[in-house]
Amino acid sequence: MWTPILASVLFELLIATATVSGTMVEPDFAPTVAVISSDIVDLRVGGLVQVHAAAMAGDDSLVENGDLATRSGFRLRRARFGISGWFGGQVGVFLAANLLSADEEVGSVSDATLSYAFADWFTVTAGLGKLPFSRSALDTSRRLLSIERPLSVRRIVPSRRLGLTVEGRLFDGRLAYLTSMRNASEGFNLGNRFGGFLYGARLIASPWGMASVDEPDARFRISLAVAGLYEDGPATRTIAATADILATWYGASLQVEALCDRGSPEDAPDVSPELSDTIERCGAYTEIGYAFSVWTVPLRVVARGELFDDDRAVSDGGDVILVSGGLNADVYLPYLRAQLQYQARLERHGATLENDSLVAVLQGTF
Amino acid sequence: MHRTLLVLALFAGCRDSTPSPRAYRIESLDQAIGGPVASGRVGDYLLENDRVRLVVEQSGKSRTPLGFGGSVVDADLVRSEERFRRGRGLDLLGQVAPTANLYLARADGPGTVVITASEAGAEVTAKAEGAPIQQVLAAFNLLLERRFLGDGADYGKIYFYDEYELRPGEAVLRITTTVGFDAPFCPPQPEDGCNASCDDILYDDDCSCDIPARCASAQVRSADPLPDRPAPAGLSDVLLGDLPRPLGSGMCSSDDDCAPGATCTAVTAALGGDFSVCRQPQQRDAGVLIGDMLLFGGHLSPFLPEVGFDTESDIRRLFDAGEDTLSRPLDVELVAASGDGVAYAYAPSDGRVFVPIFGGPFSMGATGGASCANDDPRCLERTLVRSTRLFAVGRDVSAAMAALLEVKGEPQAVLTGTVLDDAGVPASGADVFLVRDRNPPCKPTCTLEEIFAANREQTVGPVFLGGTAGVVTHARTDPKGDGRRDGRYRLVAPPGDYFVLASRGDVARTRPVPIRLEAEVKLDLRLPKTSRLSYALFDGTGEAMPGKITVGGHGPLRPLELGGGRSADDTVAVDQTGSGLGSLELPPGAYDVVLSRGPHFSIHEERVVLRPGETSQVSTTLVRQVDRTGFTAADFHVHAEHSLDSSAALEARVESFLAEDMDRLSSSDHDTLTRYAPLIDSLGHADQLTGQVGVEVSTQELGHFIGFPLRYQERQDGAAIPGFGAPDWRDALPAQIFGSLRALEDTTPIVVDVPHPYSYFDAYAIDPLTLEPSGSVIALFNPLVNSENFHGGFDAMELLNAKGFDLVRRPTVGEVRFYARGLDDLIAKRRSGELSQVAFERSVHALSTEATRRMLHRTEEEQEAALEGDGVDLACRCGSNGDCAAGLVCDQATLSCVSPLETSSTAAPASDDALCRSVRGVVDDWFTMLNRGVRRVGVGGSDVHSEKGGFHDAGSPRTLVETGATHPAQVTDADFAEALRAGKVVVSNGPMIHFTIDEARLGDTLPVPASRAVTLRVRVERASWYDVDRVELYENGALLRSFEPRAPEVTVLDEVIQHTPARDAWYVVIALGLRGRSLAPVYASAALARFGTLELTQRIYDVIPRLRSLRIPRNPSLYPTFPFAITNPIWVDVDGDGWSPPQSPPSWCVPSKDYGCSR
Repeated sequence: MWTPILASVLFELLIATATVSGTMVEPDFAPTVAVISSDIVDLRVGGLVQVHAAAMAGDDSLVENGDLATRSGFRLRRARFGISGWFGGQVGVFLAANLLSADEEVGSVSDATLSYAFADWFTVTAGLGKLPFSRSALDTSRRLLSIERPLSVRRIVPSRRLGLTVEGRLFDGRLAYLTSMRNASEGFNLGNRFGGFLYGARLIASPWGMASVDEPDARFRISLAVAGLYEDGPATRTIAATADILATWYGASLQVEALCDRGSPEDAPDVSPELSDTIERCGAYTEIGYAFSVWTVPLRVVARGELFDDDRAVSDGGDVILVSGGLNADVYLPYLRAQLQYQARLERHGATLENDSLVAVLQGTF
Repeated sequence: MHRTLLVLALFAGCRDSTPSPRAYRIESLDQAIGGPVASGRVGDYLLENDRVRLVVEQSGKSRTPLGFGGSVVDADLVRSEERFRRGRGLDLLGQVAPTANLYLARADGPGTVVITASEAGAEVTAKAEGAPIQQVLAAFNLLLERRFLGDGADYGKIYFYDEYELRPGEAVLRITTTVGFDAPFCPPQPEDGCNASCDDILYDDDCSCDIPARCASAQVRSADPLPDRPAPAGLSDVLLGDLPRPLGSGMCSSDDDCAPGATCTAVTAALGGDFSVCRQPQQRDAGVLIGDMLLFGGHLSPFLPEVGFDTESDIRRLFDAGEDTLSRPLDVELVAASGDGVAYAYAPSDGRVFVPIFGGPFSMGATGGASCANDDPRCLERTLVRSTRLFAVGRDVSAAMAALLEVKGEPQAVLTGTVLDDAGVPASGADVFLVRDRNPPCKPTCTLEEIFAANREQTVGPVFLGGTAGVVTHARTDPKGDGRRDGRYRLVAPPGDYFVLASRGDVARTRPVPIRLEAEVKLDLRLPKTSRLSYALFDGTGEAMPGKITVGGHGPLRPLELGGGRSADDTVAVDQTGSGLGSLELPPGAYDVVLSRGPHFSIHEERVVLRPGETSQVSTTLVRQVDRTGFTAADFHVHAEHSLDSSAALEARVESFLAEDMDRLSSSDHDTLTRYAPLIDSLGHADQLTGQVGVEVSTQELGHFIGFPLRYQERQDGAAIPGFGAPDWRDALPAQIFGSLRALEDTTPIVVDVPHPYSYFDAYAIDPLTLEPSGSVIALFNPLVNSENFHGGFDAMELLNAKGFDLVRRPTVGEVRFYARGLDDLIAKRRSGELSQVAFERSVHALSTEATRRMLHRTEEEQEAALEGDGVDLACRCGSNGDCAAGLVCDQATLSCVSPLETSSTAAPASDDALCRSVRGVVDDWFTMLNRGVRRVGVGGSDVHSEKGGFHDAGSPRTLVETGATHPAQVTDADFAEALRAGKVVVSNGPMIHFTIDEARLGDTLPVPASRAVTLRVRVERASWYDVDRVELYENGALLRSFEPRAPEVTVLDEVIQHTPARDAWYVVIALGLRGRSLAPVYASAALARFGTLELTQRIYDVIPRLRSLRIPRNPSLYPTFPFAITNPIWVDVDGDGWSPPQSPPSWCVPSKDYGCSR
């Protein structure tokens, strides 16, 4: 019974070796301006600028808490500049700077990867980049349907870490995998200062081909994925899991994702009966969108609902419902984009805060 | 070649090699000095030459703490770098105010501060009648017998003439004070024929004309340099006349009591009570003492030649030995103060400086005296007394001292060189010290400790009881403002034999090198390798989180004499991080480190060994162990660099709050408003911490008052608002101060909080039982403290300030006796040599700890006695003879200091259970207030001043307000203030108390039918690293139940009590850790016993019988940080007919606030 399956897999691997399509981990932007473009070398520079204009922000709004703005006014959300290169079609380099960061520990490096695409089913990437775990985190920020990623993704998914990723697509992309091993702590030039590693894996099934919100004319597509990670941190053990679905159908899209993590300290002293030393966090969101055009300008209406609990052991202000809705306009694909979004964050316990916000975004990328 | 010389000659001709000094009024702030504590403003007077710049404050109320204009408020070097010019200098000086007999010039009227002509340089003069530094000091004019003027003279009417003169080429300001009592100013008229630079014919030393008939004739005499009489000579001898030693002894009632030739002379006037001593004809009567109040401020570290930076230990040793430093002050050549980039030195032009106190940033230097012999009274009649002091500015202590030596014409030798780090790189910011070489036997390979020990052994004397370490001077390589980072230093000292050593902070120190200093010597010094410790704290999700690291070692890394810190817990370093990641440099060695995040999280302890040149790491996850869900952790008593006595940077203050798990930072800088919110925002911590604007109105004599949240405004009509709108407290009554604070209301009603309320209550002598102002003797001299001026219009009061556990509960007589007798015993053993100084200090700490434990541990009997007023008639001014000045004894029946002849030997000693009414117990006062229906919210305040570590820690104690907020750091000001005003508050430095009665929570009033039982539930939690071993439940001030929990879990107590209230009642719970593990070392234990003006003046009170009512017994102030928490009340209204207090309200109750107040 297993023989035909194994044969089929080997056959797929053999076929796929002939066509290489690179990494599934999308950086924040893809450089488009070709400096050199030949069969041997393809070198591009690019950048991304996102400017937020908050038309309205409640008195209690706070970006740090997941709101879109803290006060009415302007905000430079992202400013990235980078260079990408492919050599011989198989060796890739990507270096991006976060011009808003001058952090002592991590400097201004946003992404720094070296990759080797042996075949569609096997690409290895080393360096600093996103962790292959959550769908939303892997989406490039230049094409997010909502202005920000869901709060649960921002809270639970580890930030960029240094390490190694192996990924590949099988069966014409109907099955894909990513595995990764990273440092458990941040810090680039000093390396794994506090020790430990983070291991992650993600498996994606797309029976009718990869679903993508960027293909509004496509017929029904669905991608289902599960992912997990284990972080043996310097002082905390964390285990996390996520499952997600993305379905698209002629411009309509539905994305659902649920994710949880559990962190346990190495030392577990007594705690109050009201508290837990192991912290479990869970979140889930549903995002729907519909793309259409007006006067040839691609538009998309988007709505998202999210539930997030930053500590399942306590019922407090960390238990929130986020509701948002807005309109996106790709004014000049792929270079210029505008978004308008309204978001409300509702505290499930305690006093209700005034944290609704209305934000417009102008994004330029090249 | 010749052309070059010509050009140079031309330039030289154009340039004035020694620019003339000048004085001018500041017309715009870019003419001022500027700097971290600069207070010079437009209208003030600037004195400058080619080396230094100084600001004399214009007339009016001073912006600095003391008095009026006319004092030196800013001083700096002339700096060539553009970034330090135009009002952006490095002034670190608080204030230097000339004084005479504890008065200073009342320069608050027109023409009282002026530019005057001087033939020697530039000059600014303050001339005015005097005013007491504190109103109460005017009392001395009525209480003391003075005879140096004619009959009927008014000794409170002093004329001050303070000349500030700056000469060419000198980095020294000459401060000449001329005082007169019976000779008013005599400004020259054209017909007097005075020279042009004459400003006052009597007082100005620049005048050369005869005294006209319209003016009183007066002669000028110089003050005698101190010491102005044979040893023992002290300040009290100049102020009160020669006093026998020990102070308080040698009383007489007539000449018959005295030796032949001596006369029985009154020390006190009739109003002051009867105190006379025998004086020989040539002994001196009370006279005039001249000097300066030296307010260095928190940015400066005082330094004394021979002593070094440890300026407090010697005063403590004297005090511990039963001396008082008014009678036996430190006797030094000069007083210096060192800051980052600038230092100051102060000395008389002739003689020594007497220093009675170093209270952190505050000190006083007395430099000259004038008094009459006992057989020659009235010798100062029509006589002006003049004294000149020198105030030098330098880039470091050595430079400032060198400037003084230069002016004094004393020989100087110079040592220069470079300090290099272990890699040979010039080390900036290194300290270089010269230590006296008294030829110790260990030479030439002595350790610093051996040198100090040898120097101390050879210098033990009546003032420096432990000898002096011999630290002569100090320089710094590349101090702030030195553009060249070349590691060079320059030490100047009299020629002689020394050891020289360099250190960099607490982390690296060279061995002492013997050197003979003659003329100019060069020596480079190389520092040893250091180590680095990186640390990281993570929360339960693996995210880095703020926290603190406390590093324990064996012995201080840097001796106190060289500027090291003092610790009772062997803590050698403290660091904090807002990001969760941090590192600190340490000398190689083994350390015990503790990682923490406030008292409600677990801690991580680890021993680390650091090797030279290497970095080690320690990281951990800390978990919240104690549940404070729904409570917002706030601190309303917070100082930073905007306070004169704090150098903590605002960023560091924010970091300290994050590290201590705090939610709300309410500023309370002295007399200035500080707004943290924009800073917190910009640092990205707005989700964790809220900033609230507040202020601590810091009066001199009424206590302090905090207000929050306040409207913040920096400018009005383009001009900076002084203190950003902080109320002016001078001459203001409490009600006016409260009104001024409430006038700063923005959108949320102001909360007025009384910090360390014993100051306010003591100023009005609030009776511990009736709460009525009982009439302080001070009211005789300061109408502000008249009883009717006490005002109850405050909303909250601190139940625990910092770690002052001795003033939390009012002690019983037995507890006072226990401490006083124990201390007497230890002092006797120290005197006899049975105890070494180290053993003595350790024993005092143990005694103080035990005494404080006993005070905090209340029994039912003690509370019963307190409620019944047992002991209310006792003076309780002493617990043993050691509390009294020598010559007096403590009458155990009345507990007052009396002469041996006055003791009521037949009366029974006072009961040990009786309360000692003279000592404040803030919680007991609060209980009495609650019993009398005075409803004020009890809060806690850390009073934190230091940046990290030390005796004060941010948020210890904290006020936990039950806002129910889901984001405790983001509750609105209005919601927060509402919960606070409602009394939904627990004050704690660690333990958490969850207290309910039926369904009522803290601050609630629970109506219940008569005779119905209620259910009280008390749950107490603490983190696993400290203990709570006593829980007390109070009902209307009576100890209803007490528990001695021993549970090893976080929840140490979870008790449900059925109780039927007999009447309307309030209930409060206190949790304590007295015998188990304290909060040290995470929260440092007290390392140095309290010594302020209260302690300084205690023994003088005994010499003036009238002031004996101000005396209090010695109080313990050395103890570990005991875990302590107290709730605010839950009120039970029996019958539901409205809550009524068990006792009647005091006269100052406020109808809108208090129960039963109908006035």
